[in-house]
Amino acid sequence: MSHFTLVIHGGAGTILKEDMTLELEQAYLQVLQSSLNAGYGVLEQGGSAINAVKAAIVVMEDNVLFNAGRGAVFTKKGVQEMDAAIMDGNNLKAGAVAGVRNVRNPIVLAMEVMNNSNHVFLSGKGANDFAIKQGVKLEPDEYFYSQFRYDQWKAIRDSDNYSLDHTNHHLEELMRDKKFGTVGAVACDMHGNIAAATSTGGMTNKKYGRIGDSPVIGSGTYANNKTCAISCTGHGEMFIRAVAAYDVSCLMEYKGLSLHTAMQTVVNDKLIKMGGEGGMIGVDANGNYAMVINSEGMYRGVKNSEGLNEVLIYK
Amino acid sequence: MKLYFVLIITVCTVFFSKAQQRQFTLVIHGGAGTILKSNMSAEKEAAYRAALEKSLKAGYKILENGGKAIDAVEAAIMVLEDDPHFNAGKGAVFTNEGKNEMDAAIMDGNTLKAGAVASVTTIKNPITAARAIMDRSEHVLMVGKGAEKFAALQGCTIVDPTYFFTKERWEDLLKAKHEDSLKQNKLLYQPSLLKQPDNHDYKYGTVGAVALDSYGNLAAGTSTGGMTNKKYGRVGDSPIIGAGTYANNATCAISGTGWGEYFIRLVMAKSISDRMELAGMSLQDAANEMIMKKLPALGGDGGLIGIDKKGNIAMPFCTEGMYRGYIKSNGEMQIEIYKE
Repeated sequence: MSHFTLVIHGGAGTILKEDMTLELEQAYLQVLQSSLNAGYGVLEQGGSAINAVKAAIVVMEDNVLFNAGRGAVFTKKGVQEMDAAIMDGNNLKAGAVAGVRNVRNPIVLAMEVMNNSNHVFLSGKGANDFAIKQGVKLEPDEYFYSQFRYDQWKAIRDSDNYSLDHTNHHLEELMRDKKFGTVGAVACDMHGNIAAATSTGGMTNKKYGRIGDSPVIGSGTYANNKTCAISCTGHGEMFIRAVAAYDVSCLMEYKGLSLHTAMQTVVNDKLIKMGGEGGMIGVDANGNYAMVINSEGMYRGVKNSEGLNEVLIYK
Repeated sequence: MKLYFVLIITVCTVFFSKAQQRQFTLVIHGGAGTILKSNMSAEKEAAYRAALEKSLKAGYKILENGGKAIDAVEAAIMVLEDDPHFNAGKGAVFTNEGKNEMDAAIMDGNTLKAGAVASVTTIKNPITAARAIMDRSEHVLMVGKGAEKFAALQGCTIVDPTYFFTKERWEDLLKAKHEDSLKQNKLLYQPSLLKQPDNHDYKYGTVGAVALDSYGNLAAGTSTGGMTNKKYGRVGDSPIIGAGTYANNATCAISGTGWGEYFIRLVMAKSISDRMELAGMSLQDAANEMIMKKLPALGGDGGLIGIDKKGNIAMPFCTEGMYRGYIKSNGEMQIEIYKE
């Protein structure tokens, strides 16, 4: 039997142990474990990497703790606009959505775009229309409501400041501790296929229809059986300019770097030089995995056919 | 004697480096697709050539006066956006709902800074909005109404959506819708239908520019109305940094045109840069490999323009034609439409 591996993240940023209550920490670890179990279950039964990453992400999207799906942050207008992308490393097929509202699981919609449209990237109201046409589950605004996120949004609503979530601190602290909270998953299945997926609510208080790296194929999400599957989280603008996920793939393909070394080069050298904070998770077609961050912490976990099963938060 | 020799060397070095510095080049495209001489009237061809020449000259003027690549790219694209013959700005194709929704991106190879807009309907020159995002926001990509609001605040010219209307594009939409109605909904998603020759430039017609300035900086920009009859807020490769647009002084500047979905999946523009940087390929070889081999192998088609830091140019396409041209610092200018 071939190896199979699932790696997930729930966002990177200034996640410090001293800021965390024991209860909250337990809650995070629990959801990460459920997400791992959901995706791993798919792989264990011989399922595909693409289905495993979708299953893992749905669990995190359904939980208010993460900035994706139900727990997505509020825009300046007080609504949730979500982005997601998924890519199949076996055939380089991809699907992505940006600025969608009321979609329970944006990752499911991205998968619909990949499988049932002749497009890769849909945005805004049009993407919502496509969701309705495909019967993708919608939820009323109240579903997405979360007191925690709402307070977070209200605290900085009247300022021009942005925050990248995972915090309910007041304004100054928000700006001092730039925080992130996208969710993502990458997997290698027993058939040697790999896949990547990312889902996010973007930045709290974002304006002007800002889109980050998550739905941008090559930047926040990329998969290619020849090299790697990558999902990123962090300062999206820098990940776009660096075309970060694809850059890892190219370093492996053309320079022969290992997955881990390639990810280190991008995250701890290239992105740092650009001022881009965050991290990424990756797998290759042999089931090797890596989780690399240049920030204080990243909610993350890995479970593989060798019996490894761990969830981590801090550096 | 020795001192005299050193002096001569110094003078020569200064002279040649100055001469080197003066080298600049601008390359543009007005879209790739089923562009056949047999379908083109002499009048129409002349109009296309005139627009391409005007665009090249607008960018050349900036570069000649010591301007930056990024400014030349923006100026060249604005000319093509303002011209109704191209699928960008005025003359943009219509969506299924009868609207003009435009995308654009610009990238500075010197700083790796970038700006992009998607699905905007009221910005006269979407490339100027992309530039404003790059220069004056902390973001890279903005979509829809939010992007329009930002553009307006930054002083970009806002027009009524009717400004973008052209009779030809409207007829393209009606024709595309008619063809749709003749086919089963399922067949709509058969790529082969989009490849039929009678489909002329339904899909393509994006405009783009890449430039090398006299300081050795590279820049790239792309602007498009997307696909005729597009639905569901479809965004193509043009505003995707790394896919339809990319610039990096270390390697090249690229602007793509074609079947956007495939350009996104291949991360087209960045893949050429990486082939140069990491695999040591030339611009020409890297661009040819991607456009003539990898793109058709995946089922897509289209073309691109590229320039490297030495001023080498590539303009490959695997379609029937691509509106394209370049102008060099010595004034040498060439404009082409069809395959050689």
